[in-house]
Amino acid sequence: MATTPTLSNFELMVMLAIIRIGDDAYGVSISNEIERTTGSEVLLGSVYDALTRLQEKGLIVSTMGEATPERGGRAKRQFRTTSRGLRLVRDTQQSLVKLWKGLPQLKGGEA
Amino acid sequence: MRRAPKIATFLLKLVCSSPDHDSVTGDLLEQYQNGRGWFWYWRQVFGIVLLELYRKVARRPLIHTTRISPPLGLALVLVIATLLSILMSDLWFLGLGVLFGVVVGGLKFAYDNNLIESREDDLTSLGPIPVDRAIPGDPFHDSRRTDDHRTQ
Repeated sequence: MATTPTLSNFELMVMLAIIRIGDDAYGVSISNEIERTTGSEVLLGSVYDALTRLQEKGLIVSTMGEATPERGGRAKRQFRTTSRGLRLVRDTQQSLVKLWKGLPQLKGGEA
Repeated sequence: MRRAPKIATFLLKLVCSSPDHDSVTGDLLEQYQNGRGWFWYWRQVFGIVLLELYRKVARRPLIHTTRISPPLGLALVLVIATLLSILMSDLWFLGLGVLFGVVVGGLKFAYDNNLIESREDDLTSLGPIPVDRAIPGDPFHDSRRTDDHRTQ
């Protein structure tokens, strides 16, 4: 029986960033999107590491994009989510929403 | 166009040599051209190289000569690097850079020359079934090897 992959917190952030960006999702744009939305700096290496893991799990696929002079003639590796990846993100969202619903209101730093 | 730090780019090329990693170097260069500083560039390269080395060591866990477990091996490398960089505190950045280059070069050399044993190889290199254990009538059994064995 095939096991359902799970997403770590950072992997979920990367998946959501890819979905938000759309067609032009590559290392830098994903990193910038996470930095912009979370407000904290992201190490590019950790983004690539998460992307490799997600690709191994079959949740995203990559294609080579265009090369530009400012990139030293190197091509971009662009990512997009697979249907399996999208399904997993949706399932994770539903699980998290259920968990949040079960919580008492958070007031003044106390549960 | 600004020129990216050469040593950092060389380190990146040394460790991330596969064609897949060209895009990683391109991403870094693009950010550097868009105004990021050399310290940012170095920090990103350190992060990428360390993660890449960890991944390589984790996939090839046993070293032939000493049989050090991967977490212990990585911890040893980090401890030695830290101690030496402290000892060379006057020129800490240069010292750390050189040491890092030596460690990375050594690991790359070991990796390229198969000094680091692959767990995957161990699992796949089972070889043919020995003659005395072969099941009679087994269609997958290599009869040629059986004949060789008989002639010896």
